Amino acid sequence: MGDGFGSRAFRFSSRHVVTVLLLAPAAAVFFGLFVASLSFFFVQSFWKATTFRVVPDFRPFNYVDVIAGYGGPLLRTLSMGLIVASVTTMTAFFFAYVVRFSLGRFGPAALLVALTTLFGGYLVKIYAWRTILGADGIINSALLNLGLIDAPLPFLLFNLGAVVVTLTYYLLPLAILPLYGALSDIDETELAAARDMGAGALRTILDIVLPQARPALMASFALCFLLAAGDYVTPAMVGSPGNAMFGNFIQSQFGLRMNTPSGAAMSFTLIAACMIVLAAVGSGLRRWLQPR
Amino acid sequence: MQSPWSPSASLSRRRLLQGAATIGAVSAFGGVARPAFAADPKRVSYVGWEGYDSGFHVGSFLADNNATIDTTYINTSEDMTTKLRSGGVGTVDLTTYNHMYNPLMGEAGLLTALDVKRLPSFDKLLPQFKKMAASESDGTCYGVPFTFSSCALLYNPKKIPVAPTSWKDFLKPEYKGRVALFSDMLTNILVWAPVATGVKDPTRMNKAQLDQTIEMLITLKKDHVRAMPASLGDGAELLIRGEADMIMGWEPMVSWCKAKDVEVKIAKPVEGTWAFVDTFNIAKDAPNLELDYAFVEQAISVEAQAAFGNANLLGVVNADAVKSLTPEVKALYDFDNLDAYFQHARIYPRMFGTESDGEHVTYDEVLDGYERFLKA
Amino acid sequence: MPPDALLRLDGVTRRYGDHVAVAPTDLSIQAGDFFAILGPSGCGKTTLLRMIGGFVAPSAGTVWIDGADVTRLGPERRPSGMVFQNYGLFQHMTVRQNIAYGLKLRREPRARIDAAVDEMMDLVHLRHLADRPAPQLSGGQRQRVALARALILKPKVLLLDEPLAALDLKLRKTMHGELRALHQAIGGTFILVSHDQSEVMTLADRVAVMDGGRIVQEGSPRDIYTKPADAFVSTFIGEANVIPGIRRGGRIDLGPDARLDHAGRDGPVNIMLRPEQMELDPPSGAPSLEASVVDLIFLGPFTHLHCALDDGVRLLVHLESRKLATFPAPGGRVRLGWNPSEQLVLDAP
Ligand SMILES: Nc1ncnc2c1ncn2[C@@H]1O[C@H](COP(=O)(O)OP(=O)(O)OP(=O)(O)O)[C@@H](O)[C@H]1O
Ligand SMILES: [Mg+2]
Repeated sequence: MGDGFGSRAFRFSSRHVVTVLLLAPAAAVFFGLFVASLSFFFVQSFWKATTFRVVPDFRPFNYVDVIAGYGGPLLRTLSMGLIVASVTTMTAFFFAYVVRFSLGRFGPAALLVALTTLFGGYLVKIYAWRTILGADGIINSALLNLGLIDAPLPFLLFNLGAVVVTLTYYLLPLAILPLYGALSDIDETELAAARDMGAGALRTILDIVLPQARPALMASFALCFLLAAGDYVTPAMVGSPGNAMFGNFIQSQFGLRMNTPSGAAMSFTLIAACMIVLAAVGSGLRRWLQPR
Repeated sequence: MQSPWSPSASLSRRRLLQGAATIGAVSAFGGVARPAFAADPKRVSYVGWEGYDSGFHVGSFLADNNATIDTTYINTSEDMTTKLRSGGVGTVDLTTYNHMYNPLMGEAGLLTALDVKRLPSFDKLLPQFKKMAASESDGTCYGVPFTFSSCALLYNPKKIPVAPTSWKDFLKPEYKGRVALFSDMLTNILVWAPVATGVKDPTRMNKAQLDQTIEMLITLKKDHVRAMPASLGDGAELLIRGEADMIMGWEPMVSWCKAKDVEVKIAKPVEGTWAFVDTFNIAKDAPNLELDYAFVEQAISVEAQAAFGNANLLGVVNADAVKSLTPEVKALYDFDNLDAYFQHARIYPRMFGTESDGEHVTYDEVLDGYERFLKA
Repeated sequence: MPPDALLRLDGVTRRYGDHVAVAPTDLSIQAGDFFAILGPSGCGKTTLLRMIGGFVAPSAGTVWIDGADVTRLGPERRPSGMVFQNYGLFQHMTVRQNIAYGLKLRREPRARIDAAVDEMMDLVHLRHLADRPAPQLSGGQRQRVALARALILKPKVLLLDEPLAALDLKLRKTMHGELRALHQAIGGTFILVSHDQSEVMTLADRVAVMDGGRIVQEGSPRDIYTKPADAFVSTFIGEANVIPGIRRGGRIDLGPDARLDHAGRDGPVNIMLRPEQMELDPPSGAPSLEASVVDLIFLGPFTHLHCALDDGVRLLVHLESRKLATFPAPGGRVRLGWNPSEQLVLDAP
């Protein structure tokens, strides 16, 4: 310090060097792995596939084919993503809200319990839910033992409801974290002030809490939506039989059919459709939560 | 679609939970390189099902040949093709295609034509397999049979007192919601096409027959099926947990279920079923051709075959190895009357055509049909 | 309850576990009062105010506002409005939206809301900031928004929890003026919590002094200043010299050469004197003490003399500079006296 201009200049440039060095690995990963491979697939999505072979071409029709051939599964996948993301985000919000504003000193413990569900593999959780919902599962056994039913209820498993339950359980801790972070930043006094001005508890949540948690709501929603819409393992294992998701068809293009162009076009269609959905949800939230 | 028939799922029977990982996002190309332990051993590159490489570790085979094996386990057959097409030719030594793919892959220049005279154990193969190796692809052998099994109709005799006699029993109203298909394209088509249409060789069916088959599959899926398990382990789980009482299964599942105290029997539907025969192939331009022959020989040798069959409850091809099989395995594959077994579980000589011959459906058309089933 | 009491507390109590934050308290506040609750940190002021506003449920007792029992009502159903210690402005709203929020909840017509908000913004000088988002306001501006936001609902009682504590001295002085003007203009009932006695003196027409969860004295600021109930109140309101002594048989012994007549019970007592009630070189006959000068601070019209008695008791004397012929020098000895009619003798606890 205080050595005049030279040392100051040096400090500035060394700081820049440090910044660049710190950013370099992330940038390398981003451009090297993500951008490069995606652009490669994007180019391929316009190529032509013959039997087990791919030929450079320019075929925008690949995309038309995707919409015409897989519109149904795409819609089904997006709706499943929407349902799961909505249920999960709402549940996560109320959990985070209670932890933040109602539980007092027990809040952190409850949060910790919720986060411990992060442990355990993805497949283990799916099997756990099959065990819970299955014919000889906990729910059915309990109902049978209580004499409430005399045969296991078959409709607990292998349908959309089971998919939503399983994915919600899996995604919940991931959705809680950003929301709890956002709610921690909201001053409790604001809630008290709203109450003081005549707002009931629900009104306060709608007018004061949700608008300020909107970025986190959106982050949680997007996270859940993208993971749910891209998932085809859970639907295959607890969903309606053979109710294939868009991801199954993408995988089939890359795998069984070795049709990289079509697989790539489907991938980009899914990405674009997801972005459209998220943009719509985002602007809907923005409009809904705008102070009037 | 992933192939749930993939033995990788079946072989890990002690890890039923992980069995489903075959359909997960696990990379097919995350090969595990074994460290070298001898001075300059030759490295043989294996791209195939997990567990099929176990025969190489029987006895002192690797040490005797001063070789190590670099394994890349696959999740679907297509993974092998992808690997070979993307720079694998010239670096890959061994693959394990189902025999139906061999003519196609051989003609596409991905596999080496084998000289079976260089395999001393070849003569000991059961006649069915010797004939298969010699007759397919106009007499050129692109793969040596190594193991077999079939898609068996499994049922729980406690829940279904009378043994089913036809795959059509799946459609009976009393079993509605108690049956399970598998989610593998090839198996579903090859098993159900003869049921729906009476066609003898479903790889040679016409468009109308394919449509009929798909219609039947859609009916099954919509109105009768409880689940389409995602892997073999998953299928056995359905029987064990009582979610399904009758499934398209696989012989080893009988023993898996027994290990969980659930009795499961194999029915013999009149329409028969499809037999899977997996082979060992040497890739085109394999870097260690001489050594690769030794590897294939080892895979079909008596000791390796017996060990493999007993460990995995799978059929063996070496006639001399049959003696060393446990009674359990012998019974599963009816080794006392193998002809009857293969009369029931049929071997189809080759895949669907890739180009249209104007009469039979092509591979692509079958895939389109199957996707129609999935979308329905 | 007297017919004109707007707010009444009957035995209102709040306990947190074993800790009594507010001991049973009775209080009446008349309509139109500017009432102040004064006390040191942690004495229970906020808790008491929050029980009036409905944010904290009393452990016992009843809260009456305008003749109605509101003890069980939440804040949204009480005719009170609150300005919080840290304001609690809605961070995602502009000044205008913050002020309009309460009226919008009441579903008043848009035009009426706009007019009322404009009027309120004029009153608190915020018109030019109408569309500025809350996080971009200065401390004083925030305080005024909080005030306007509460006032626009015309609460029967406006509760102010140390609203000026976060402001610097100069701004606080300005805001004092504005608050007074507002109270006069609106004519509502204000209850102000503060631990700043000068603020209370400036603003309030009635004061309750709290200590350890109870109200120790209530009255006009002048009453409390001139007739503090005990030594705590005397030192808390304004500055005070407390000289300990012993009373025996109607005489109080303050030191070797200082005693004065004062009837009462035998035992230790405190004599309380404001700094301006003491003088240098008193006329003979007046009680006096000898002390040494510790420091002398010249403040223009006044001079503050810090002294110490020989037994260590500190004394502060405010002197009018123009009445001083000579300035005592630090280290020197002085004689300090007072007019016994101004002294306050309190039995020491
Ligand atoms: N939620 C609570 N739980 C337990 N104790 C509390 C709670 N709120 C307040 N207290 C205790 O009650 C007492 C009074 O608190 P209060 O906030 O009313 O003090 P205050 O007079 O407003 O202080 P300050 O001037 O510092 O704001 C304090 O000892 C405080 O620790
Ligand atoms: Mg306070």
